[in-house]
Amino acid sequence: MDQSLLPNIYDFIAHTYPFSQLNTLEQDAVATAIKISYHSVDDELNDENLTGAGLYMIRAGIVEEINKSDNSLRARLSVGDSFGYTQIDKEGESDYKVIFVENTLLYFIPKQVLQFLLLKNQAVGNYFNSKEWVRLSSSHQYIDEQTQSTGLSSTLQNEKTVGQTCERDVTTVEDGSSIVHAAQVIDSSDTEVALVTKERDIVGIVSKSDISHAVATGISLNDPVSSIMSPEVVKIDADKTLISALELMIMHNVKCLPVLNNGILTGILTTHNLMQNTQLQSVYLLQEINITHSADKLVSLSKQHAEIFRTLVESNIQPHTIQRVMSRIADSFTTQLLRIGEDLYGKPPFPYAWIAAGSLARNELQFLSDQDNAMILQQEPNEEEALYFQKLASFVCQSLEQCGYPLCNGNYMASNERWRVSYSRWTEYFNEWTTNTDKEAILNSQVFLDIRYIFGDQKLVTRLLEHLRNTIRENKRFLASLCTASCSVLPPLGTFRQFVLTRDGKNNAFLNIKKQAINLIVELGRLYGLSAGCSSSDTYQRLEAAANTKGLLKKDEFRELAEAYTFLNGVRCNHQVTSIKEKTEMSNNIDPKKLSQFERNHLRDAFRIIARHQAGAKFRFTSGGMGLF
Amino acid sequence: MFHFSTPLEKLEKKRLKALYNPRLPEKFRSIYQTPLPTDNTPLDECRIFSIDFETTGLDFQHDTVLSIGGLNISKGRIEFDSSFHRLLKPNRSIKGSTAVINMITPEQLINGDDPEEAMNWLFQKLSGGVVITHCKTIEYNFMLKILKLEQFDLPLVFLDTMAIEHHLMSSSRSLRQDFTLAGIRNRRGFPPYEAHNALADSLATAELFLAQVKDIFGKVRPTLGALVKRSQ
Repeated sequence: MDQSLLPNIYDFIAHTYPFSQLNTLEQDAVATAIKISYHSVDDELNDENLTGAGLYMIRAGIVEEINKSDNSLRARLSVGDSFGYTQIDKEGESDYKVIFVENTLLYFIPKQVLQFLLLKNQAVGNYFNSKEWVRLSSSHQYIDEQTQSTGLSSTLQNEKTVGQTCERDVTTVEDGSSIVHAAQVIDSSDTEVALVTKERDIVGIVSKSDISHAVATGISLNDPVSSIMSPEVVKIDADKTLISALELMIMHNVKCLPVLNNGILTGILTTHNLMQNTQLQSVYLLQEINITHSADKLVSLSKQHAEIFRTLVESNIQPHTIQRVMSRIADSFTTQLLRIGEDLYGKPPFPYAWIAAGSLARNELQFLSDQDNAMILQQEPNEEEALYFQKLASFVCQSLEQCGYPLCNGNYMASNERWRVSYSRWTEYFNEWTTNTDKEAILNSQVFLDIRYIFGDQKLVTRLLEHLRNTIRENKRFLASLCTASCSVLPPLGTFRQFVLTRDGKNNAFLNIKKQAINLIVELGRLYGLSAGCSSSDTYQRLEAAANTKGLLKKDEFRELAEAYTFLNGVRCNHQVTSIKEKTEMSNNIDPKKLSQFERNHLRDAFRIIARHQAGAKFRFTSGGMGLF
Repeated sequence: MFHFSTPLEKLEKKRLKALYNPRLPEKFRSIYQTPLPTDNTPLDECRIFSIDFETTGLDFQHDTVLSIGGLNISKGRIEFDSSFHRLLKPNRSIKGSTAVINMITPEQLINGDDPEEAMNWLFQKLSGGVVITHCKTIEYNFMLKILKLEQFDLPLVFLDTMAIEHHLMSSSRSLRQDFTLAGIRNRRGFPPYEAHNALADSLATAELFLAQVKDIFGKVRPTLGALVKRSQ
């Protein structure tokens, strides 16, 4: 059929995901197969009209899917949305019925046509998979994902592996050689570093600066090189992506990585090799932070922040990796500011630990995140000691603000004396929160249940975390209150047209992707992580720990929550990068009009996953479940 | 009991009468032999077509049909795979301005089908069926003329979405309403169909028809008579 005859139907098909992924011939096949029906407000579609039927697309009007089990709203759909695909392989009774909120014009694509398309086109196949998480995972293709798919990834940039990029020429010295020998080898081979090997194993790494440091401190150059080398060598496999190499460099703050192929040294990857890679900026920023000794200079370095964030998002890196990189950068700023502070106000009177709380503790720092931090003091300070820690904490928090980490609204910061107390006070706090489960206690605990060591005496943090785990794991009452608090906010399932949900100061409707979606998974993660006794506060790791604990989460459930989490964070990252580009105020509020229909469909899947798991958690952790006994 | 004939009954009488007229062309005899549905025939048992003609004007004597388009409605669903669209070769040259409105160029029309042959084909296709148009005079009269059946009536049940809409709107007392296809669709919240061609318009008409049937019958099984009455 000549497409120009009916531009409307063809246009609609060509612009509606996933049919937009089809070639024109396939789109033609879809358009020609369409049957059009009209439904008035009191109509409904049920059972055989849905099961084994096909796909309905809304051309005009609004419909609602109603779960038949409990008459609850499953989804509200409007122009461009589709329904019916989860019922295609069923017979007889349908899981939900469809009612018409407005007079509605529907396009119907019969099952046979759809099945033909599913066979021909993977993207369409994934989209119409009846499992939400498969649909969600098909919504993105991050370059650092370990996926086996071949078609798409080969068209992506940066698909080169470490093995293809590294230098083959590796400078090595035998373990037991002298420092002077190592210096000669490094000098003659014109490199910055040499690997120290013992038979086939890498036992250390020695750099030019290690040698100059040795010279400067008067160590005998005939001493064995092992006395000045770094014994902990971070290595990488040749088949890893450049991004994972970059991440390793950032995590461990190193400039080069020995490359192994099946355990055998085959090359070395340096920052120089990654030079063409724009993401390198983050490595350099990190290294610069670590050698900067003035707070003012740190503030000026922090200006690169937005640029790095934007580059990472635009390079199509997993949101989780981006958040980890952003977290590492924040860690470095904090650490360096504490060092500068200790230079300024003198050494501390006794050991303390600086901890991150909230999203930074979870390694999920987002571009917007404000600072959440605290201090654990080894003992009760006297007046003078208290003043020292006050000055140090205020300096760090103020400077962090200048570096682009806004002060915390809730004042969850080390500069607040309440959160700058001795170890024993901290344990009292937690005991109080977990026994007296009022609203404020729950709120405080939600912030400080996610903590991570940043600087100072790590033992203080390790001990506190262990105390925490032991107190909470078996405390059913506390877990129940935490669950009730966590599940009090519901995802916006009842989407009218788009998401008319919350209103900002200017009375515009928006979706707050953080409060109405992302946080809900974070809180589920915390709940499950705590009851699984997980020591990490990373949301993925918490959920995974729960999946590995018998009777908590099923593997599939972990998978779908993780996919929903990745998808939601991806939407947030893209949204924020748009704000940076358009120089508009950045926030977690998304104007529903700015969401593509593609995003809306997938958001709905993610919301459904969250709602289901909130219900599951309530059943497991609160009396709602115990009522059965 | 005295009984006024309904329009459908009158049409049926004319059809039977035509069969006795020796001037009825032999090629159309089989069409005239096909019985028509009655007032009580459920709509879902009718063969329903929505059709539209693009013409150079409204003067049946002097204007010509440029293209014909249409599709089938079966059991309340518009079946897009049944759609057809044919360009017709004009019997005289076409003004450029007309071509612009209809998005059909004179070159395309030169290669078009013979109007009489195309109209015969359409007549056969519609035989015994219900025909939906928006303002039926145009399609009805051009068909009569091209088929040279002016002294007969077409044995087809014409429904008119414009007349039906007038009927539905009459209670709302709103004068000066826009009764063009686009105007009605806009009022009903239907997506605009920008294309001005016979197939697109027949689809637009068909969608409107589905909505009107809902308005008139609600959950009751629709029958033909009520729609014919509202199409006069």
